[in-house]
Amino acid sequence: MAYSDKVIDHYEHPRNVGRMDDKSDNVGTGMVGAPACGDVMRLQIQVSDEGVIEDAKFKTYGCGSAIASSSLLTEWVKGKTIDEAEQIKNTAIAEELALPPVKIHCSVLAEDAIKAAVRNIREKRGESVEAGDTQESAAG
Amino acid sequence: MATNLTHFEIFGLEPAFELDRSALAVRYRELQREFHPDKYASKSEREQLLAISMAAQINEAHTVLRDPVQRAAYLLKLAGVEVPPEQTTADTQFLMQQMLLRERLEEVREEPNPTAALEELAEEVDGLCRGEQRRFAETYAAGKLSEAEDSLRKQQFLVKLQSQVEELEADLFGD
Repeated sequence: MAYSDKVIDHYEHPRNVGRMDDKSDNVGTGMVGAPACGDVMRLQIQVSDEGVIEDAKFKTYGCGSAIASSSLLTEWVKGKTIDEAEQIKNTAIAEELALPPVKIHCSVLAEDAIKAAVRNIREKRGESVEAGDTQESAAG
Repeated sequence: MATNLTHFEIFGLEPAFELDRSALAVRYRELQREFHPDKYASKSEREQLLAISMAAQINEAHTVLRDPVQRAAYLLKLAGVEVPPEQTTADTQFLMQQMLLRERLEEVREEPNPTAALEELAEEVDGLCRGEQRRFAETYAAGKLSEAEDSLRKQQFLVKLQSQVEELEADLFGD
């Protein structure tokens, strides 16, 4: 498989690898997996009270494209609000990394991971997650 | 022989997850002999082409049936369930376990006794794999297709892990 230079760069020098305390109130954790290739991805965001992503960490067990997709995503989401981060599309990741069609699912994995992480922080903060969900009134 | 037979029909087997591997191997050899191109060398071009396409179909069927994950996916497909390759899963508990197992695999080299650590991990992964295979066989046979699909997804992660365990085994103890 011919990887693009950007994929190789992220694969060899992944940004923001690590973990945060998933119990912490201001940390949102997204765990997703791609059954087709057995990849597992954990994406975590540290979110300010104003809803701005201050830091992001990831750990991915998977191919170069999956690692690059999550690495790139952590760079992109820093400084964004969770609303903005949620809007990131896998196609933008695939385009930036010039992923071949057979590796598009790696970018889908990254998109699903950030969505899951945002959902997790919203749940922790008692915000309604999706339209139609009942509003939780627990945490502030 | 018609070309629209299922892989199971080609081998004269019931479409079930559990399968008699030795019967599969025996039948495979028989079929290979029956449709060997050499046997058709003196036949018409049309017959030769048919034999070639049949031989290809036999090989494909054999590859799918002898591999548990491919067999499971094929059974689901026969039942009308196709799992798109880009589908992701968010079963947090299962994924956490997968992450922990992969972390352990990563740390095997630093263990005081890497051989024992890797063996222990391999056994655990094999056990999980067998468990999911049993679950697939049962749920599929009972027509619980969404549970069977879930089991297939889990098997895919476990098989990937198994192959990584094997790679490390080869790396540590291999030639």
